[in-house]
Amino acid sequence: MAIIELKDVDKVYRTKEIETLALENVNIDIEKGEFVSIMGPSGCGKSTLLNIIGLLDTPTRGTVKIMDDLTAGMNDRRLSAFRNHNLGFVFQSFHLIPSLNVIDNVSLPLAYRSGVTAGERDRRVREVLTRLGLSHRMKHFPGQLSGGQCQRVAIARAIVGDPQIILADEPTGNLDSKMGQEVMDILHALNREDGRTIVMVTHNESQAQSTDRIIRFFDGRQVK
Amino acid sequence: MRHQKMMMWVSIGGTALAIFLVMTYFMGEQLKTPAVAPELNRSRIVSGQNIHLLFTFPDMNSKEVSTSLDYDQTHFFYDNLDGVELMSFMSMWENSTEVGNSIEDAVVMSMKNTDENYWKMYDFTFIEGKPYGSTECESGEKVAVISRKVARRLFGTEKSVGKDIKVNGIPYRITGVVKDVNPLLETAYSDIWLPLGPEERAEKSGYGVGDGNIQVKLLLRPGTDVEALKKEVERRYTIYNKQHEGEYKATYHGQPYTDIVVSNHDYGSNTTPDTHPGRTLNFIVYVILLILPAINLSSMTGSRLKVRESELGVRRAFGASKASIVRQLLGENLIITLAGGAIGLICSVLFSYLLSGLFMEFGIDHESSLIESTVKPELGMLFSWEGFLLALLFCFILNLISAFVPAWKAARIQPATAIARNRNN
Repeated sequence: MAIIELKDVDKVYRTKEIETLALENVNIDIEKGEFVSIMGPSGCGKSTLLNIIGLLDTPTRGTVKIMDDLTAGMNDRRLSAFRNHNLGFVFQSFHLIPSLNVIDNVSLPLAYRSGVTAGERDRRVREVLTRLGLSHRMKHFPGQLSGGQCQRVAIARAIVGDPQIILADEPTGNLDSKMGQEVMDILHALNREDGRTIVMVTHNESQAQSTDRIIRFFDGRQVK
Repeated sequence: MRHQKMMMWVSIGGTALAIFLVMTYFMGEQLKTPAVAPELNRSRIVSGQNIHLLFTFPDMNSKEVSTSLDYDQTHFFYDNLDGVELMSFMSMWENSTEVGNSIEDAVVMSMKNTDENYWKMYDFTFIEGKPYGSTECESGEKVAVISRKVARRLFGTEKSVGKDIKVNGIPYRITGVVKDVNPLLETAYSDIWLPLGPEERAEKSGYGVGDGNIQVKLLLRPGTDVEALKKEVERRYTIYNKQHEGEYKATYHGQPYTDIVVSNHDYGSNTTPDTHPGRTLNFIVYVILLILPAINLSSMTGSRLKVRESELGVRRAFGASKASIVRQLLGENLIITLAGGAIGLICSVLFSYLLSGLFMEFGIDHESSLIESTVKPELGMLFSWEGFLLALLFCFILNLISAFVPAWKAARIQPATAIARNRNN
């Protein structure tokens, strides 16, 4: 059963002078529990596609269905709640908030979720940080961590709300090969052990080969 | 981060400056009507003073005079009005008087004649003795209440009750000594108080009407409709004019006057006071003092948020709605505004207290050699809960004006676009 369905999706960026077709007629089905890689050269629309799947951007044409919900008609509040409950994001540059320590960074999704008590939030944050081997770094700030540790914190933040789908945009792009492998191992574990669906944008062929399926893009179009 | 911190301090400084300016202006205005002892009830006190008369006696050409009320007139216009808790008569003009133990050591002091109710209407602190009562007022007994300053000056001690002082060469027995009153409190301030006796009550002009050097103060019950009270006084003016047809006619000019009219000296005996221009000016000043810094602070808030766009995008990605982003940013900005507001408020109180003599002009009418050239307001005159709440209100307004538009703009950016900015985080 497809957990993510994109039908006839186009994305056009318009300015006064120029119109850029970032995605053209994209049709993708991703099954629940699948680990999918999206590959292609820079500027081919990979990140745009991930943003559309993550409801961080809207398609110009076509429909996006996630977990059987059509996202087009959702207002801002519903979209935000939907992202909060069902989607977790991992970015290439980590995007941790520099003024918050590890605990506060990781608890971010729970801060926007109603009905989670402070005690429950603390328990869940500690749980994921321990699982990712960061229990000794809880009070540290992002500036005090290595790149690999930052990305592990970012993964902890992505999973603390227990989303079914994780969207990772070049999660190893800023890491050396050893740390990159560590991050990949974590993602595979999250996929295998938790059954989470993972969609990952990557330039790394061997990392992509280790996932269930590769979807390739060129100039905004899916390569069959 | 360092840039953010600097911007935060600049914002706090800007807010402090804005609140400082607004509150200094507010305190300047407040000093015209400070509700401190003895004038604690001033918001409930209205004044009947002055009369505009047109003489129409058959044997004289029309003659217009603007003068003080006489005792009979004050009774006619102001006795037994609905909503009045207490009525007190006192001299309209403060007399400068030579007071001393002998002619050689006499000094110029300010003196007021008052009735016995004056001591109930105003909250004086008696260091020794007591005020004079109705018996002394009705008999015109030569008794006096003096301030502590006068007692020390004349006798070298506050213990002066029972002693005599000479007022313009006439001996008066001291019945009480009161704590000194700040000269900014025009109605309560004096160096020496004497009973409004039969002689003062009988004073009138050569025409047998007006010019009695009398004013009346009315302490209103809480919630009294002042406009209804004025209508009744106006009705009495009409009756008064009918009774004196062919002799003189009094023109009604909106008496009794409220505290703000009296304090601003907005009245004249032949004009009707208009407080609207003053209120409009105040409103314009407050708006300018708030809007200009708010615009500057708004662009500063915009710059601070520009740096945080990526963070806001991440927050949106993890479930923050536009509304919660706006709420969060307004809340954060409110902390900055309140911190700046507190600094501004403290600075404005200190500035007004320490430098008031240099920058504020007080319309002090007292002629007394005991008043120092620079009159300082008391701290209680400058800081009030009303002022504090106003500062708080100004902070909220400033916060809304300076932060709402930048916050709303930041919240509206598409999360994907926002995250893509400032990738160096």
